[in-house]
Amino acid sequence: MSLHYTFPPAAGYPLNRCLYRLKSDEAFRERYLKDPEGTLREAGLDAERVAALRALDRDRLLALGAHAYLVFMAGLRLKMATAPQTFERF
Amino acid sequence: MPQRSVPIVPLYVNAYLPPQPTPARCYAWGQALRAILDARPERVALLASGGLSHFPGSDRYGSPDYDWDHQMLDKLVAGRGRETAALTGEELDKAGNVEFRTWITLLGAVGDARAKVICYEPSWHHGNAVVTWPVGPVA
Repeated sequence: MSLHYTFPPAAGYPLNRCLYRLKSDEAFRERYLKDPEGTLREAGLDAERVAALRALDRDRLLALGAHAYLVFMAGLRLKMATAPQTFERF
Repeated sequence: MPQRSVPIVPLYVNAYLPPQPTPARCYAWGQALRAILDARPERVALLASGGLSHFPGSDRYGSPDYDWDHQMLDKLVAGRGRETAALTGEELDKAGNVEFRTWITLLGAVGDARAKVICYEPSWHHGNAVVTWPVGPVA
């Protein structure tokens, strides 16, 4: 059985760095919400990674080396920023 | 902002990024903490926070392992917390209980005290438990 939480491959660093910043860097998150494509491109992601991240396609992101917890937290923070009213009881 | 009147010392336990501490190491850390606290004059409360069965970001997010949680809580109520030191990181990952490392650290400090389970509420994505260990002052 493979683990749910593994150490990401080094090649996944730029992608994980972007996920981390969406989670914890408010200025980066705001910039991303205004210009997702440009912000991620500037951060070094290629078209495939930009598309996977913009879609928050978890399976695709994990296949590209993202850490599951960062995918979750980045998605949560973006949802908090864009659609706070959609949160159900936690 | 209100001023806090007691000192708080946070202790971070790495749950998600390998290499995480083993359960045995978490337990031993708690034991060491207890030995230090027993030699101190202050009255100290320990709080451990961490999701029971919880798989954030994984394909198991909507299917927590409630059975694992119940079995574990039964063990803690029976005062068998030291058995958690024998768990493996793989077992915790499989049950979505990687954050249980914080509990294990606390268990090292409370020893064989029996847990009192105040509540256990399963949600659609994890288990919420509130548990206390009444540990009396050192004789």
